[in-house]
Amino acid sequence: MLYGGIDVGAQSVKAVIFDGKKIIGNKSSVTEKEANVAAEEVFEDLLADLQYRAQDVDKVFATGCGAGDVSFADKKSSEQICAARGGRWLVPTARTVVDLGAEGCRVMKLGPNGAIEDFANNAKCASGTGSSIELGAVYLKVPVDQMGPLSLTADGVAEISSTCAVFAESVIISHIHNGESRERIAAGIHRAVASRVIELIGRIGLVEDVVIVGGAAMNSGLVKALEEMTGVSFQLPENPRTAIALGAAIQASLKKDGGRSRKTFNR
Amino acid sequence: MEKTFARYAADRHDSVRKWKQETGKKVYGYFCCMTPEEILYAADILPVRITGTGEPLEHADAYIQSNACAFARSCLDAGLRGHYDYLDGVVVPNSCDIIFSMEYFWRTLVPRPTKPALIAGVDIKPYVHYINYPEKITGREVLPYYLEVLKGFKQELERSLNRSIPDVDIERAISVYNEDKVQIRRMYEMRRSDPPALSGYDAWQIVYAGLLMPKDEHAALLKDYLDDLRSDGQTAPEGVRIYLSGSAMDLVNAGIYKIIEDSGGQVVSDDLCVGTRAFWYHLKQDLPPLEAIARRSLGTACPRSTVTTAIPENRWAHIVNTTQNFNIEGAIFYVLKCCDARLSEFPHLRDKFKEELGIPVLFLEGDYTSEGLEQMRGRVEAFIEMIEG
Repeated sequence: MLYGGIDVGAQSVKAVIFDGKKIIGNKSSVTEKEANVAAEEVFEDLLADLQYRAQDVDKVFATGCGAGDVSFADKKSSEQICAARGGRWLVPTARTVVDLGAEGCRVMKLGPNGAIEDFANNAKCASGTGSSIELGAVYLKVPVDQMGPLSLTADGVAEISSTCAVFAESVIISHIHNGESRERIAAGIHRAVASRVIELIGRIGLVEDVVIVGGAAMNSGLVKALEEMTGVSFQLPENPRTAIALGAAIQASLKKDGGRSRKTFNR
Repeated sequence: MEKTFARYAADRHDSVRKWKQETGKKVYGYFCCMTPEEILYAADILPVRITGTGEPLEHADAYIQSNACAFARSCLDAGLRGHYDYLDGVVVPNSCDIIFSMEYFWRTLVPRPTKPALIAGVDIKPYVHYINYPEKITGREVLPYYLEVLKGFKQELERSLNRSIPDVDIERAISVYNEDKVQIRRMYEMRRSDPPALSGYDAWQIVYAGLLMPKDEHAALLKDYLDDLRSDGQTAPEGVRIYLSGSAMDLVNAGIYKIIEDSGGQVVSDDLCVGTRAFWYHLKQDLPPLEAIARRSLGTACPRSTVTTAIPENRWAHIVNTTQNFNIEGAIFYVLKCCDARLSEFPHLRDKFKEELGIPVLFLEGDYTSEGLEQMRGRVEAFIEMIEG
């Protein structure tokens, strides 16, 4: 049986096909189209790549901020649950799953058996998310995917004292005026974002192993800042961007008969 | 839902205005559940709980600092907008630090229907009555002190109304109030089943309407409603069984019930002043009436009221009582931003929930707007999904 997971994020749409045991394929695409249209396109492209038809997929679950708009999904599942499911599947020893998206940051704590015990996430503020790094990239005039590598070459850190993205902006500008290097400012931006993520982790308590998923997990500077500031190693799975869509497909496989499913799920 | 309850819950001001027009009786507004409503009822007054609007403030920002709770600020704003122009008086108990300041604001800013009766500079017929509910609610001196406060309040009311309020009338009011508490408790008992007999939102509407309509009428309607519900055998939709704890649950805040129900949850019990605290504490009918009222007020486990220790044991005791046999699967704390009383007790209660009851807790910080509530939907969905597994 095949299960589909669609993750409609703030910036990109991700799709995964899962057969209950392994990932059959995944795809992600940055889009500015409406959620439903974008989701359909990505899902159809993925099916075409894999040479499947839509009716071959038994159940499709949608997640992400645009999940409610995905009309072809059987059900929606929350981002927290899907990120936890996907993270745990990718790293079966994971007890903490950190999901860093474009506008959302979520931290989930899992029990030894994989059951989700607690979670914390940002509410109205995007200062602990990928968009804060994007904002910094605009001022430093570097492509956003170069922000991480740039920060890794810094010989120190230009502190961004404010955690508010709006105030951080003025701090970045004054650092530029004061002649701070772009590398050091980039390092400062990553540490400021990491401090917000660590604050969320602190609310539920950090238990190893930690796995990091979501688009912003691909930023090596951010992962390094998190590791340095916590003293803990963060495991980065292959394709962290599609991990939440994978989680949605796992949820589809667990809840194929409807109703309550097992609380635990292991690979 | 019974039409009268729904009407009062949905349109409280028009419903009360209509009642006043039909009966020609007086209506007093009050803040907080420790108010001795029974004394007002005995004086043939309808006491109605004051709540806010949830809309952007028009006037109150000029008087109350922005780090005060949005509910209290909105209450004053509603007063300044004239939403409460049908009130004949207002009662402010010394509950939390912001509500207590309503005495000054309401007295000085909100237009009153009658002129003050000044004798030597003192208004002997005040529009706003202040009840100096003690900061500390346990200890030998507290009851005698609070009894004096209640006697003073009763005298002030008698002067304002030009009538006496005899004990026999207060005793009658107590029995009316107790009967209403019996019916609400019966409704809560019917929510122990799975699925519960009625939804969390419906139960809230009933309790909330009870704070706005005469208690005798409320009790009679509720008795019939529950009898019908029992014989029909209808139930609310099945859902993850949620315990709701939070700030003043008026029409704005009650949007949280809808979000919980939309997400597959069902509130079955609570720690709310528009909830369990409205009926949990019976008034003893074998005591002098003012003492029965004083004991009920002092026994009410409001998060504002601490006992002699730093950790509010009375609060935890109330929670233990109101979770027992309700098969709670998750607790949601929906607390308004800047509600010091609620926010400072939260870490302690969260740990107790997890450690002693083994119940997961979701914390939501509200801003008293429907947009703010909508923002919480994702977290409520995740929490309920987490419990479902």
